Order: sequence, then C-alpha cells, then structure tokens
Amino acid sequence: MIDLYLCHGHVYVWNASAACDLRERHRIVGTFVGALPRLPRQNVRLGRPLQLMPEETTLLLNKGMARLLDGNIPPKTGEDAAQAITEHRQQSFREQAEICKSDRKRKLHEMASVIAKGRAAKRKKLAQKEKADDESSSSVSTSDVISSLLDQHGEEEEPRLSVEEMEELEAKLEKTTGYNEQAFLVQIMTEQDSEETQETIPWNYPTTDTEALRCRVFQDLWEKGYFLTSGGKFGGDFLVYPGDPFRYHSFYIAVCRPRTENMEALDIVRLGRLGSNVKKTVLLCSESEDGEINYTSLQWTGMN
Amino acid sequence: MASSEQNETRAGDLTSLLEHPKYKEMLAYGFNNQEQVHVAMLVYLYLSEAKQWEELDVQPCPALQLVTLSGRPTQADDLQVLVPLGKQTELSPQRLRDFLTHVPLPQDELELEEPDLMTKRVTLAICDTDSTVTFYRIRDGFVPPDPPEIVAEKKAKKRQWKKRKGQRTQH
Repeated sequence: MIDLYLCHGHVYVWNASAACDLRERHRIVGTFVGALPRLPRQNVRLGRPLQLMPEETTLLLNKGMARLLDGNIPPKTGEDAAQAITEHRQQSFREQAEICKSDRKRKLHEMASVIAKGRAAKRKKLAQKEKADDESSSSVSTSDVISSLLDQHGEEEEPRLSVEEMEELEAKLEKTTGYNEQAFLVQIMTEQDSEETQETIPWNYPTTDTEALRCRVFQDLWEKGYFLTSGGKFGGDFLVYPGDPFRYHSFYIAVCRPRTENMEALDIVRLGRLGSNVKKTVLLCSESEDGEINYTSLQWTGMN
Repeated sequence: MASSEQNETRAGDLTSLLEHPKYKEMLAYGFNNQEQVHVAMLVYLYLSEAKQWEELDVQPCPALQLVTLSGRPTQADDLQVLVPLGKQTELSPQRLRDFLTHVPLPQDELELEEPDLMTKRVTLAICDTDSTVTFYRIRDGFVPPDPPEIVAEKKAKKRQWKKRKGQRTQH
C-alpha cells in the first residue's frame, strides 16, 4: 500500500521506494517537484516529493493500490521531540565518522604500492644528491659502483611498504578525530516517525463532467498498458507513451472532448497541425453512449 | 468602372461553376445543405484540376446528408474517401465517428475488402473561404505516428516524384 499525502490540494509521494514502485510496477509517472538537497540552485533535475496528477491519484485509489493521508499535520514540537532529533542526528554523525574511517583505511591499502613507490623515489633522490655531493669531493670510487649496482637491484623489485610502516600509517589514521560535522549528510525526515496510525481521508475528485471524462480516459489508456503524463505542453490533456517516458517519445496527444460538444472544423486543423509538427498522432477521446471510451486518431495527410 | 467589370466576370465564373455537370449531379442528391455542396464542388475542382487525382468521383451520403468524394492522389496510392467541409462547420466527436461509420465507399472497393475495415478511414477536406484546402485523416482507434526512418523515406520519395513530375510537364 502506497501512502499519498494530500497537502493544499496537491497529492505528494514522499517515500523513495514508493515513488520507484509507482513508476516501475504501476506505470504512474508523476512529476518530481522538490529541490535536490545538494543541488538547490537549479531546476533541471528535481527530487522528492513526487507530485501526482488528480487523475493519477483517482486511479491509484480506485484500484486500491494506495491510500490518501492528510499531509497537513504539523510536525511534533516540544523539547522531547527536539531532543530525539538531536540524538538521532548525533548517532548518524558517529556512524558516518566510523564509515569514513574504514573507507580511508581501505583506500590506504589500495594506495600502499603508490605510497611505497613514492617513498622509494624520495630515498633514491636523496641518495643521488649525496652521491653528487661525494663526487664533487672525490673521483670515481668503489662506493659509487656499489650504489649503482644497488640502484639496478632496486628497480627490479617492486617497492612495498613494510608491515611496520603500514601499522604506523593505520595508527595515524586511527588517531584522527574532529571530523567536520558540516561535511556530513543530514537525514531529512519526510514522514512522521510515530507509531500511531493515520486515518485515511476522502478524495473529492472528479467533481465536474470534464474531470470525470479525463479520469475515465486516463484509466482506460492506463489499462491498455500505456504510460501517461500531463499533456499541457502539447496542448492536449495527456501525452501517451508506449513505454517509460525516459526511454520513449510519446506517440499520442490525448484530447478529451465530450461526445456531443461541438467544435469548428478549424479546431480539427489546429489539433492536427499541432500533432504533425511534433510527430505525434492526436487522439480524440470521448465516451460513447454505452460508456465505452472511443478513440479517433487525427493526422495531417501531408497533402495541400 | 473596372471593379464592376471584375465583379461581372467573377459572377460569370460563378455561373459557370454552378453549371458544371458535377455540381448539378451533387445538387440532384437533394440534400438540404447548399453550403456543403458548394464546398464539395470547390474541393472536387481543386483535386481534379490542380492536383490531377485519379479516379476522382462523387458519392452521396444520405445518412449524413453530405456529399463525399473519393479518389487516388496518384495511381499508386490507396483510394481515399473525402468529406468536404467548410472551415466553420460544427463538428463533435460523435459527428466524426458518424463519418467513420456512415461515409460510403465506391462499390468495387467494398467488394474487395471487408466493408467493416474500409469505412474506418476517412479524410476530412477542410476548405477555407479563399478555397485553400487542407486534408486531415481520421481513423478509428490508435494509429501510431510513422517511425523516423519511414518519415525520411517518404520525404525522399515525394521529392523524387515531384522531380519526375516536373520533368514530364516540361517535355
């Protein structure tokens, strides 16, 4: 059962797995309307909450896949609640510090060979410097020959950190404290953390004939296996996708019109032209006398 | 003076249009819909004279009190059934569905295929007052848009055909 929250006339889904479920299992897409906590100054990509169209909500409630709860209940206040939140946050920081430490330890092991190489290079450099100093004082000596031999030997073998060196590094890491709390993730609560169960509230939609028709059409198309989103940006009621909107372009622009409502022939031209410009078929949807939904495809022929 | 002369010639043209045998045939159907008959005549002339359609013909549709046309844009194309309409014609979704169920097909076509399937596709010829005509196809159910490859192919074909047609008329 998916929880939907009604808040100021809009329906939201806050739970992440519920939002995934809706899309993957129930073909309900919705729109993300929340700012991403780490990217608050843009609106190209948005995050939770997921806002649902009234038709989507109606469908989910009709099919018994979701329940509607009041999203206007103010969060708990008082010292106890504040205390609980502070404790929860500190606990989270401690856990994150622990994770951070083990992560760095893992990285240390991964980078061991690099560190060893660096150290070896440093030693070599020092040795060379000493050698240069020696050379200035004396001519070619036996010690020079030995050191060059040693150099060759060193190149053959991969430099490795000794066990002592590793232990020393780990101990250093262990001693690190004072992680900056501001750099840690803060969990933002999106649901009331309480045992008491919330009562479901009624959903008063559709109220007009137009809304009712839209809901019927939405449900019928959804039952046929299509994905639907709001069609506002293409001048229709819904956009109809053959699959997930992330992967497909929409095929149809659904326009819901009551069976007997008159429009001018020019309206047909408008709709048809609109559809052909965006390479979609306009789908006129109306309810027949026996309550079935009729679909009439409208396309420009390309002739003039 | 010049304007009155023009008016006269225009009136003369109109008379000749009204005396066209096809127009008389359309009138003879006896539909109480003078305006639609006029539009049908304009579309008929446009298709036969300007577009040179093949097998263009007129059919009455008593159920809807409409004059309908049928024909092929070229010999290779499928036969199309047209409903000529003025741009201000009132249309409801139900009316469009009536077109799909009632608009008749030429007899020989009916015999070729299941009548049920054939009547489910109608082209609306919407005519403006300056006699520009636009064509919109309506069809029962879901007709997915052409995939991009087909659109490109169609465009190429059309260009080629136009080229050939241009050459033919030059010779």
